Amino acid sequence: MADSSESFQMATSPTRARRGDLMSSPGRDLPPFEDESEGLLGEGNLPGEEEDEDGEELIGDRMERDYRAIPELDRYEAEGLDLDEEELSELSPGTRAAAEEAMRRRDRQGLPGRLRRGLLYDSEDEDDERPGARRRRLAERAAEGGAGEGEDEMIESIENLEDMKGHTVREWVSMSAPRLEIYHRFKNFLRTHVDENGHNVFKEKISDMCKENKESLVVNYEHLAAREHVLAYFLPEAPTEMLKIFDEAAKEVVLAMFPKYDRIAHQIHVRICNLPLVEELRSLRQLHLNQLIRTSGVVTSCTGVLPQLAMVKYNCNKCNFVLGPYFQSQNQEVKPGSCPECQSLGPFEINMEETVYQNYQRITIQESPGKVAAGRLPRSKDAILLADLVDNCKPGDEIELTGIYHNNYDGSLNMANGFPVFATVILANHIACHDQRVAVGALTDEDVKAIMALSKDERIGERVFASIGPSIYGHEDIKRALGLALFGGEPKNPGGKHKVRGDINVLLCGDPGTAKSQFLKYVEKVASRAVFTTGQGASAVGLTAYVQRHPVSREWTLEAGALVLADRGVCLIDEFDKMNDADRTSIHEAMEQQSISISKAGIVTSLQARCTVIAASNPIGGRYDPSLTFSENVDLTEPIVSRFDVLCVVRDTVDPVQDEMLARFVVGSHIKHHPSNKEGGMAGLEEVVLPNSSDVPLIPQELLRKYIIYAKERIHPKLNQMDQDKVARIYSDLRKESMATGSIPITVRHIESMIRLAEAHARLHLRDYVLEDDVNMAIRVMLESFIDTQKFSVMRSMRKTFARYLAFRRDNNELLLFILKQLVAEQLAYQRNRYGAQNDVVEVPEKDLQEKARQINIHSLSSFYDSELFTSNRFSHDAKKKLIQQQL
Amino acid sequence: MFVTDIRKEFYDVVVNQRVALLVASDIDALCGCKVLQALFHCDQVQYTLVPIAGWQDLGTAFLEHKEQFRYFVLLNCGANVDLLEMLQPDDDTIFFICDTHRPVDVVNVYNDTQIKLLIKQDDDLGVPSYDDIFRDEDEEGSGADSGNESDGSSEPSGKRRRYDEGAVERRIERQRAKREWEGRRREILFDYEQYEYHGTSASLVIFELAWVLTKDTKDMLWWAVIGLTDQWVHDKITHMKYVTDIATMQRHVSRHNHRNEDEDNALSIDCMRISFEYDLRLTLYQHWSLFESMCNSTYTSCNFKLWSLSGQKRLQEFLADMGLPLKQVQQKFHSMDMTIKENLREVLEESSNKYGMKDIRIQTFGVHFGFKNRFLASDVVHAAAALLECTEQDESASDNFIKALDCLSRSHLERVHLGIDLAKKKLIAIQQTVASCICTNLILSQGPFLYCYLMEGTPDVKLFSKPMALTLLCKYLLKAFVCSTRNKRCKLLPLVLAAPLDVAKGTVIVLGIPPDADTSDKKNFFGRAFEKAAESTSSRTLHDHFDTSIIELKTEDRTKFLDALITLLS
Repeated sequence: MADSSESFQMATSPTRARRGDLMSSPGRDLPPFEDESEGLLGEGNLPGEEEDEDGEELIGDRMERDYRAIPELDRYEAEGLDLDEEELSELSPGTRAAAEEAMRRRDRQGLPGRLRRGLLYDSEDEDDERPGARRRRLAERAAEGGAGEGEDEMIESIENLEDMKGHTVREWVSMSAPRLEIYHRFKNFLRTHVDENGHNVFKEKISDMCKENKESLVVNYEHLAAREHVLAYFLPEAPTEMLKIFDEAAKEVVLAMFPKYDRIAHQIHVRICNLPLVEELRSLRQLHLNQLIRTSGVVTSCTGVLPQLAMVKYNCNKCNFVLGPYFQSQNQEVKPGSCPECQSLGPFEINMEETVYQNYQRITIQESPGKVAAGRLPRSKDAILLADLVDNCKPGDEIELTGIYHNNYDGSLNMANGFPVFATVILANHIACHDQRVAVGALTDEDVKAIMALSKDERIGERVFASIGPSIYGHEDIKRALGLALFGGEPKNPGGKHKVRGDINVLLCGDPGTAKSQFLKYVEKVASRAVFTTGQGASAVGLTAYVQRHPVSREWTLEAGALVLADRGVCLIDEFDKMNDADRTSIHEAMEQQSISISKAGIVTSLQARCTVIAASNPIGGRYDPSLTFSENVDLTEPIVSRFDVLCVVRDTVDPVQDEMLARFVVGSHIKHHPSNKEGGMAGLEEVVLPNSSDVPLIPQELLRKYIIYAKERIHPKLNQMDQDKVARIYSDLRKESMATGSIPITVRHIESMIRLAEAHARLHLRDYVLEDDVNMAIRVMLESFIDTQKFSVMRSMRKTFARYLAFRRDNNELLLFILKQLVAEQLAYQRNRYGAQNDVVEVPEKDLQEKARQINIHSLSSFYDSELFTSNRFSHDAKKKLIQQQL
Repeated sequence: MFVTDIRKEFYDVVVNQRVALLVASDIDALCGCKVLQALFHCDQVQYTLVPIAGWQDLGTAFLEHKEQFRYFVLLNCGANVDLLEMLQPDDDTIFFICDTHRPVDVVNVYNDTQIKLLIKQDDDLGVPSYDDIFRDEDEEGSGADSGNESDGSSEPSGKRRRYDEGAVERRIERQRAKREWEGRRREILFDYEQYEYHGTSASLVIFELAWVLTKDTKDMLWWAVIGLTDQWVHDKITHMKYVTDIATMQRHVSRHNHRNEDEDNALSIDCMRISFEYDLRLTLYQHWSLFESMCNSTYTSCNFKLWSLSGQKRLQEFLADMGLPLKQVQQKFHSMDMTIKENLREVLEESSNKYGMKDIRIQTFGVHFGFKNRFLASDVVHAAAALLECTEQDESASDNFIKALDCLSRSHLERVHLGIDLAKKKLIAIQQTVASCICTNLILSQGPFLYCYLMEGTPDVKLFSKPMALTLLCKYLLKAFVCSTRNKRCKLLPLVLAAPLDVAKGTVIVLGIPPDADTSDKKNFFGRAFEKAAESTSSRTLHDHFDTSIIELKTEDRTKFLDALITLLS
């Protein structure tokens, strides 16, 4: 005790010197003692008074010293009492001020000790008394337990917050003493909480908040629980009261840092995030009433922002006296009874000028479609957003909502049910939009580092393409197209007059069972924002936007369709051909102009729909007929076909070797990905997967996703030294060919497509400029897409014409393999026709291959013979016989 | 010679004559010109106003007018060269020079007949005494001839020299003395001419003439204030000098306010009130938004390092600390909430003290024209400078000059607003250029000085081909660099900035400024250094500007010139 109050002794020395004794307790200078026993406490602070101190925790050696038993001092306490009253009057104002100052300082030093005491204190024998009598009770106990103990116990009764003395949490929290204690503890928490790196978390947070003139301070519940478990325990139980206390405390902390902040924001709101328990909307019960809950759902509608009365003032109509302010609670209207000035009973009028309003918005959230159990309708719940929370989310957003589950009286509901029931509503406290989470801001530094490292890989392009749909075998061209579509080109807006889209639209068309839908499903997973629809299930308005009358407000409201919801993302449309023509035409605008214009029911507006469209369709009659052109094969009109940048024709061709490898791959994949099959369960699976992924290592899907987000957000490739001649030449060639063959129309759109593809390729490499390579790749993809759409007969000749573009970046070996396969196929056909039977081994003279290879400028074949590709396709080279054999 | 009684020796002389008024293109000269014009107007003096931009202009202007005029009044030009040698005037031509450029050329100082310097004597001129630099004509002449005492007796002395040993000794003695004297003279002159700086503003001198004549009006006073503020805005004078001159001004202001208390000063739509203000050091903030003004003011921008992200954060923190909502500070100042505006200056000062900006407030003057129009002196300076160096249309320099001149008079307030808009653009351009220079490390340390070259094709580079804009940029750049660099040595270095002047001609404009320090006396040694470097490398330079520290240079000679400068200064 003596140690803990050294400074105090200094300060009070005049008084003490005069008295000539060594007592150090400041308590006797304090006037408002009620009875003798009170004085035993020594440090006779009233609870309220000591709570005025800021709860600074001075952790140090002293806290232990506080509890040291110092008998002589303990003994003095009792004696001090007598002196106390006598000398009270003698104190001059100056000495008294000094003494009080010392007391305050001493309180501060004593605080850590008190906290410790509070935790250790055994509270079971506490009798259930009203708090008003607590002081007396404590005094008595102190008298019993010895004067020395008394001074700690006095304080710990408040410190010992978790002991509620039989009250409910709500009652306990609204009492003044615990209230104060909570206030201080929370303030203390805000001031002193440090993260693992020793940074003061809230100092930075508050500073950030103030910089942006916001009024919401987000507190992580887990941090709170780790530091102040009592508060964390009270908070969900009595959220209304607790949050009010928190707000006040937070405001004080903020004002301590920025003294003039109340000129910017009158209130600071503490927002609780990361509440551990997430409730489904479906599972909210009576149990959750008036508790803090966290739930998630999709915002389906929201009202406009209305001003709500917060502090009401009334004018008395008779004497013009201004009544109030009255605090307007959430559920009922406050009305003054009578005028205090003239005693009249009204009528009163709301004083428009002095009444304080706050923003009010009501939203409806609905269970996310994915979470609704099969066969049930999604449930929805209203939530009220106040103050700065309004307009934090818009219809269509997937949000996570923390708030107080409240009930309110609803007359109509009673009428409907015939007995009193309550309508429930969630008073929002914190909203987190899921969409924002995937933004670049969420990428950590490690992610960015990993992304940068990845981009250094010179084969990053192939790696990305190979990682698209890793569980799908083959279809490199589709993977390439989807990869580029995911990265997308650069939208341009010359002079703000009209936009040129940057998104790359892809149409997959092909035989059934060629993993088209799988690709779409895969894209849905990997894209940051994707909406999946099928042609049958989507109507014109479902894709664009529809107008409906709001059930509550009876206003016409606009509901976004799939393409609008996919803004800045990907819209996937399966079974594109099954769609009605009328419905399909409705997306024309969306695909090229990237907006959807509506003029219905008095709403004339234009919605943004900047989305990539990836569609899959089946050919007419189910199978793709290679002898016909693309447009003859699919039931799609020219305008819509020309809006797709890349068309991928997937043909299900019979190729014994390929089919076998495919089968192996599928079987292997099934074995590998069985849910109960843990990692490394099966050895040797790797080699099964290998042929698909060529020889580049795959990128983990999570990283790929981040890579795409990063590239889309940060990289904006420019067209500087683009080879314009090349594009021009290709375009004129293509147009000529398309006129001649009439498969798909080649329009100006395709130049833009090439540019977009080139930009996407540059973006994939995180390059700021479009290089020659990118253009070449774009041309190749373009051409492949074009040639695929030709009749089989034309295709060959065309392949030859454009061979040098097509050969770009393609492995020689791959090309050779292709040629070799053609030779083998010829040989097989020959054998079949000649002998009618099929041999197990097909032999192709080496000379034929060499000849063909020379045509495409490949002169050395030895590396091809040694390559893995060669052997894995079961070819073998017999140098002596100059034959190439394939085992079938 | 220095004019001691400006009224008798200057005004009474010219009052019945035709006068040619040659005015340099800077704001101070403009203001002086305005005051003088008003005086001439009163006394119906005929004058011709000729704006001149450089020495070449001065030469041609003189040639054009020397036939018709005897009296030439030069405002802010001509003091720092030997004018008689340069212009070769007739003997009866008299120049009245009112110039802030220092040092004054010694020949100008000691010419009693043709050069009259309207320069306040109380400036610490430090002109070397006559004896130190001149010997009597004959002595000098003889020295030039053969080192004899008198040229009349050259023949006999020649004879004497042959025989008289003592005379030879005396001659040698004399020659040594002369050499010594010449050496000392060079030294003295070097010391005197080494640094270039600025003295009391021309407009103030002219205003005091008006005061002596008791013809001073509020308008004249306001012009004098602007002239002085121009010196401060373009950082030509030390803070001490500024404060002293402000004090002088304040005496005049209070005298005027007092005098006209009853009649003029009453609030009316056409009244003019000049008031002393202890106002913020934020550029144009009353005609901008507070936020943008903070972003574009040298003082705040350098203190917060606004070119960096953390600087932006700090600015926001600063605003939060003052309790100013972002919404409010980002809107126009005059539409800002009244409650905020009320004690804005005090609040700002309090908070800026906390952020280490001790002197965010500065003594200056403000003016009210009627009820609506309120300007600070610096606002007008920026507006006039922007108009004077307007690059937007291809109008001639004299058009710009007239516009700038007009914007000073209160009947052309719309022109001030136009000028303010231009000035905002200029300031934003400067801010952006500084930010990009700092962020891309364009400022290189060359040893004895820092060097920065603005690339062709950088935005707004055309703006910086004008000397005043370039000066503003250069001062800002140096300050920003000093704030951002960690290198202690670099903080004490002067800066040389080069910007492309005319791409077609292949010329650059080069400007050198003294190091940025609080104690800096704003004395600039680059004038001489540039001359010497140009001489030694025979670079094709043009020393046309009245400030010798601004020169034009052929782009190809840039490296050569720079190397010479480095060797010269290190």
